[in-house]
Order: sequence, then structure tokens, then C-alpha cells
Amino acid sequence: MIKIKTKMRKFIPQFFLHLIMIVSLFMVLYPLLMMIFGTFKSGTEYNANKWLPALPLRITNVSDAFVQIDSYLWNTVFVAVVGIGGLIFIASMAAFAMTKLKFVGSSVCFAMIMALTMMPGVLSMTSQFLLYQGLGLQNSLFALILPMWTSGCVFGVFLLKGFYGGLPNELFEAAELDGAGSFQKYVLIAIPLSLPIIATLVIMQITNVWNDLLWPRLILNSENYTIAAGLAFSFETVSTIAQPIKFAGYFVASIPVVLLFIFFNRFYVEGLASSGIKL
Amino acid sequence: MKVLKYIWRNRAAYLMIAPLMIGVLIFCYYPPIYGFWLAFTDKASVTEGSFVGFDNFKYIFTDPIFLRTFSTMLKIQIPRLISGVVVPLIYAELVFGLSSKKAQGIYRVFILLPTVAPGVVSTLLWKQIFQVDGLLNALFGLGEIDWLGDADYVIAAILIQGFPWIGGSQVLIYLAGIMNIPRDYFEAADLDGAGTFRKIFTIHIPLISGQVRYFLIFGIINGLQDYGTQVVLTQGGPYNTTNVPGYYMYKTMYEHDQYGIASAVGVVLFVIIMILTVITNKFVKFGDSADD
Repeated sequence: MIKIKTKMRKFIPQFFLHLIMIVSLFMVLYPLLMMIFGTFKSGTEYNANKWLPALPLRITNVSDAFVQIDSYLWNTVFVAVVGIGGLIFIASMAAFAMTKLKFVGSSVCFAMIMALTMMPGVLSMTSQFLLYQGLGLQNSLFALILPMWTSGCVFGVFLLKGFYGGLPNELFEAAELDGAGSFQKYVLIAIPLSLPIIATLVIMQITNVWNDLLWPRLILNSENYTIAAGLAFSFETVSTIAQPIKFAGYFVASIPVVLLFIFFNRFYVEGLASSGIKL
Repeated sequence: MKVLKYIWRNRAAYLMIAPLMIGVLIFCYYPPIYGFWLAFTDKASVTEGSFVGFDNFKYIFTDPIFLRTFSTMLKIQIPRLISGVVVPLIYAELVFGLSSKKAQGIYRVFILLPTVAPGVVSTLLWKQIFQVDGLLNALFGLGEIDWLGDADYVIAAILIQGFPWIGGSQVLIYLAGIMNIPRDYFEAADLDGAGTFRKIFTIHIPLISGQVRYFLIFGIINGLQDYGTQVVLTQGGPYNTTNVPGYYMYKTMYEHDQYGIASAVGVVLFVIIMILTVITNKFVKFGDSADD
């Protein structure tokens, strides 16, 4: 009898914890469910039944939406590949040099990079726009790529410097005895060892590119928008597109990042943990 | 000569940091300086930008629309700051309180999932929920409230957006902090007969004050500059009721090409952010946090 009582005393709070979690998560996830339901409805079906799933599934909505936003997707992919590729190269090389090569000025350089994390962006919005315009990059996708190669590297340098700092020096000294130069040590030892942390960085950066909204709108014309700006400022504003097709557009835009999350969940959590290091 | 020789001997190292440092100097250090200078010029699409002293500041501080953006910002950002710091902590405690490790793992994935979908998609979906014939009115039988078009309701709508504001990454960061607390703390508390709530207030919160401070500071910094919702949902309207300083700056620049005035707003925001950051850093300290 007493045993059952203590069991119940544990069970009831646990039951309520689960209940609160499930109800809350349902509320948070419902907008996405609504999007999925809406994606597969016909226009008349949607007008009659907005919030619940319905049959038959109208799969053509997805292809109708895709042709409207595919150019934004390709722009995003281009920016992501070129931007992140360069970012990883520039940031890892610099982080490696700052930790494993001894030279005058390395700590000053690192302090200069770290100072940027405290720099709010408001002061530079106009000047950045005029700078990129002056460089002839208005309406060029390189206006999105160059920021990744520069300010985008800041967090990467921070993360990679922490990692390279933890690698034993003997590893590199041994390579030096075998005649490896600085670049060889970087390419053959530092890069392969840091691949997991680079993967974390890549995932975080893909999310950033996918979400970038305001800067593309400032610097690009609508045909060159990346996906977030394309959805919000171009696709969404076309009044002739029926609502289910708009849902399908949101759906298509979300699929790549959601799949990425499902397959590389581990790196997301690691990314969060790594941003927690500085707390 | 000696300097050059030194650089030449260490050329590999200097070559390896050169791309980063040159890029950062041009694209990260030069713009704020230039932006500061622009604030004192009449730079616009048609003018070259000559020095005008404090004219831009006089202009914005006599513009009633600009002055009102600050109270709007407070109305939006103070509730957001509180919910952004407190609600994730509540959910982290809820997940931590679960006895099944397996369930904890599953909830963690589902907490993170909605933050993975692009933020703009979430905003556009909420736009549908706020329509006159949208879910919010239908679910609660509120009749024909035009949430985004009615000046009396639009701030409420902006605040409701994202309910229940779980904030996946914040929950996981808090949770990691709580899980890192050494077990002996809890054993000592158990010996003292402390209940769950006492443990939360006397052990958890003091030991994750670093995270709390981080979310406060970045919540303030980001909140002051934020205008994403305005750009996508309200365009600052109706009747400027949702216009915030960041959006005022964006509009001054994007629609009116007044770079000098926009930069002046930038300088004002920058100064406020700096002051608030220093104050928060100095005063928001709890107990004996592990990291101070």
C-alpha cells in the first residue's frame, strides 16, 4: 500500500510534466503542421477547411510553388557554397596560424577579432551599403558572400582557435621533423582533425544564409534574392498566388534545412554547446 | 630592415592571417567609422555628403514619429526580453524534471525542430493565424479582429507571435548548464530536505546566472536593433504604431535614401546599446556564479 502511494507520488508529477511538454510542443509545432496541411489542399478545400488536414492530397501545389521560388533557392545554394567554403578556409587558416605558429602580433590580431563580437551592427548599416555600392557589388551575390568571408569568420575563428589550442604541440613538432612546412601542417594535420567542428560551423552558417532577410533586400534586386528575402518580399506579395501554393512555397523553402537538421542533429547540438563555451 | 627580415622569416604565418585581417579591416572596422562620420553629413542619393554638424540629430529628435518609436520599442521588447529569458528557463526545468532520459532526448529534438525552419516562414505562418478569418479569431470566437491592421491590437499580435515562446536554443543552453551542475550540490540539498522549487531557486538559478546574463545582454542588444517583424508583417503600421528605431533607420535609408539621417539613428542606437551593455554587465550578477 505504501509502495503504491510513493509510486503514485512520483507518477503524478511526471504525468503532468509530459502533458505540459506535449501540449506546448504541439502549439509550437502547429504553425508548421498548418503549413504542411495547407501545402496539399486545393484552393476551394482551403477556403472551406483552413486548419485541419484534408484529402485528396494536391501534390501539384509543390511543383507550382517550386517554379516560383527555384531561382531564390539556387541563389541561396550558390551563396552558401562559395561563402561558406571561403569562410572555412579563411577562418581555419587564421585560427591555425594564431595558435600553432609563433609570430609577433598574433594576440593583437585575435583581440581585434574578438572585439568585433561586441560591435552592434546598427552603426554600419548605411556605410556598409555605400561601401558595397561603391565597390560595384550592388545587385551582385558577392555582396552576400564577402560579409561571410569577413565578419562571418569571427565566430569561426573563435571556435577553431579554441579547438586548435587544445591540440598537443608534439603532433606538429613531429611533422616539422619530417620536413613539413606551415601550410602542410595546416592542411595535413589541423584540417583533418578539426573536421567535426568545421561541420558544426558549416551547419550554423547554412542556417544563417537560409535566414538572411534584411541585407539581401537592401543590396539586391528582387530577381537575385536568396530564399528568405525571396519568400517575404517577392513570393508573398504576389496576390495572384493562391494561399495553398504559398504554403507549398514555405514548405519547399523549409525542407532543405529541416532535412539537414534531421540528418546532422548532432552538429546542431554541438554548435549550441560551443556557443555556450563563452558563457 | 630587421622588421622586414622578421616578417619574411615568418611569412607563412602572416600570409595565413592576411586574408582575414585585411578583410576584417575593410569590411568590419572601416564601416562603423565611416558610419559615424556619415551621421554628421547630409549624404543622400543626390548629395555628395558635406559636413552639417548636428543637423541630422536635430532633425530626428524633432521628428515626432522618431521619438514615438522608442516607446513602441519598449512596449515590444520588454515583454519579449522577459519571456525570452524566463520561458526557456521554465521549459529547461520541465525537461530536466523528467525522470526518463529517453523522453528528455526526444523532447530536446522537438524543442529544437521549430527553430530550424526559416524564421521568415514562421512569421509568414503567423500572419495567416492573425488574419481576420484566421485561426486566432476562429479558435477563441473573437469575431472580426484585424490583428495586424488595427492599431489597438497590432502590438498584442506582435507579442503573441510565437506563443508559447519556447525558444529552442535557449532551452538547450539552459539545460546544458543545469546538467553540468555537480551532483554533490543536489545531494547536499537532499540532506537538507530541499524541495524541487527550493533547489531551482537556490542551486540552479545561481549556477546558471552566466547564461541568464548572456541572454539578457544579447536580448537587449538584439532587441534594440530588431525590426524583422516590422519588415515582414506590419511595415511599421498601421499609423506608425509598430515603428521602432531600427525600422525607422531602415526606411529612411531604403525608401528615402537619406544616408546621413539614417546614420544618425545608427549612432543614437549604438550609444544606447553601449550604455545598456555596460550597465547590465555591471549590475546583473547573481550570487556566486561559477564563472565570475
